[in-house]
Amino acid sequence: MLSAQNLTKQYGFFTALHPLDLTVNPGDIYCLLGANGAGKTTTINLFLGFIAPTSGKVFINGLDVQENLIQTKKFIAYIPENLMLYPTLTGLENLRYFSELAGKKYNLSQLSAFLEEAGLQTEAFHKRVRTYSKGMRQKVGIAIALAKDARALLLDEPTSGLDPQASNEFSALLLQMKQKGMATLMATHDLFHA
Amino acid sequence: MRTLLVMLWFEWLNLFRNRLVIVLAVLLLGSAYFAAYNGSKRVQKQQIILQKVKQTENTWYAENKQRLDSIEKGLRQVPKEWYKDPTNPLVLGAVRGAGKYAVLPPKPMGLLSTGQSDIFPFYSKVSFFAENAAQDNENFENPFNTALGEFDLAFVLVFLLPLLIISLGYDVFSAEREQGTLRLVMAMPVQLTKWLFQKILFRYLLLSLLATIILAAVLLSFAISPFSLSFVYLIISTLLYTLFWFSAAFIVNLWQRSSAFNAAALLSLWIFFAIIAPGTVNLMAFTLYPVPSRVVYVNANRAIDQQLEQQEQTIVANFYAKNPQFKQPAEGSPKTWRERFVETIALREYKIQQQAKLDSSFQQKINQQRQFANRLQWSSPAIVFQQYLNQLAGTDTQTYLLFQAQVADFQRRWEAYFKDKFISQKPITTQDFAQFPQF
Repeated sequence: MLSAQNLTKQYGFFTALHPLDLTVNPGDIYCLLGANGAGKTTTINLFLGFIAPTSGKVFINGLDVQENLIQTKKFIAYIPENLMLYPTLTGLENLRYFSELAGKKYNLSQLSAFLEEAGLQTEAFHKRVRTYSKGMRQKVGIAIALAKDARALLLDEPTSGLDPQASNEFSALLLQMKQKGMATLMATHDLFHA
Repeated sequence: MRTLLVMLWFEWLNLFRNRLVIVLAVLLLGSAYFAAYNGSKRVQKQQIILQKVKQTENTWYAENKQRLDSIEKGLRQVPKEWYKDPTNPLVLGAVRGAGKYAVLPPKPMGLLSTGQSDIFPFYSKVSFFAENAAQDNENFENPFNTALGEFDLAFVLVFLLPLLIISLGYDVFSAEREQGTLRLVMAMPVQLTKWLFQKILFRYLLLSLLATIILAAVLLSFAISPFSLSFVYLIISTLLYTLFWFSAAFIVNLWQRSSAFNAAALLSLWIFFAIIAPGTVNLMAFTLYPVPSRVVYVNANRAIDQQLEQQEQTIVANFYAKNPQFKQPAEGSPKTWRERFVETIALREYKIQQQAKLDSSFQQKINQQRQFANRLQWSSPAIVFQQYLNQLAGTDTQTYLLFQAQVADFQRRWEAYFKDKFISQKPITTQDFAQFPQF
């Protein structure tokens, strides 16, 4: 599902990513472990097409990311370290907005089901996101991935700053998604969770 | 299409919940209403003045017609004093209360813009001996003055509206990046430029709708129908002007810089187009096509008067030679009122010829200045829009110049009519009233 071939990234004279080859198959959870500045986020950004590689190629579902920037994003969902949503919209509205952006059309009960599956409490669905904790926002992020029908999940330090319970809940969600065949690439420096 | 509507709906929710729309609506409504109130006061004042002068004129001519009628019916004697005699062409065409007012009534959309109305006269009294009725004293100055100081609707639309647009559009993209939602959007299968365009488009449509409703409501409250062609033109021009500023905001957003940078860039554009460009055009027009000051004009007029004094005897003698029905009085003998007026008419003919030469040389320079300024109006949409609003309000330079030309023509016809009556020594009758030249 996700693969990198001889992937490198340089910023001027600084090498952010040494040649990298990896493959993440459906149902795999692949962790990029390393200290700050090791190139974890750079790798995620390369998969997302936010930056172009210096050399090598990135593939999502067999498609070259740089050549199919829009197409490849249909297969992936992204949860950054600090997932930010529209604060004036509710969790449900945010989910609907991003689903529509992904070209998916759902009714209210389907959207609610995704939020429920992601573990968000029902009473929070109609509350504005500015009242959400980080853990709740991450759950909306998972719901977006579910609604988007993504086949690969790109996570950049998703548990950093979460309390142990929220962190465990998040890990449980990832395992659920793994069982459904989701390919996950996660950048973290949390050895315990990895 | 459905996705677009959903996107627009979320844009609305975002803006509405941020209270930005409410603040904008209140600001726009408040300033538009205050400006329209100012404009309506100005128009009202003009209407009262015009009503008064027309009333004075009508009363004066009605009284004289009545007196003339009494004389014709033998109910009243012809007064001995020439200046009280209504059969005398000079009494009804030249002296004291005689003369007709040429008026330029305000257009229905007059309250929209002060324009050139504080520079050009909107009424002129035309009579036999009127001094250049078509022009006022201010005429040789500031042909491109767009009355920046007036808080009228044009000011709100030309100057304030772009500021509201800037506040609505400067951070469409940068705010997404700064609040962190951009990364999530970028991870979606959407074209970022298209997505940004949709957001700006929504804001443009929203402000257009807001401006249309507010303008319609404000004008309606001042008894101006929003179902007129002028209103349609006002809305179309406003929407085009709004489109220019939203396009500028879109381009600035595409640079993907910070909100502060975007705000600074758009405000700089506003300062350039709304303040610097009109000022520069004005300055260039004055520098490249200078018009002599009013002092020079007054001095040139004095020179004509001096010339007239020196050649007075020859001019008067020539006039008597051409009009043998008048007998030139012997030198040193006391002159009758008729002889005095014959001399006045003779000298006036000469002065008008000389004055026309002087005026035309000044006018030529003013016209050059105007033409230059008009050509450069395209350097700023703010100037173009302001000029168009002046046209809609009927306070543009062209309207006043046309009025001046019509007044000058009316003056010539009036003078010719009464001069003919005086020279041919025909008394005025009540039948003649219908024949008096009309504006």
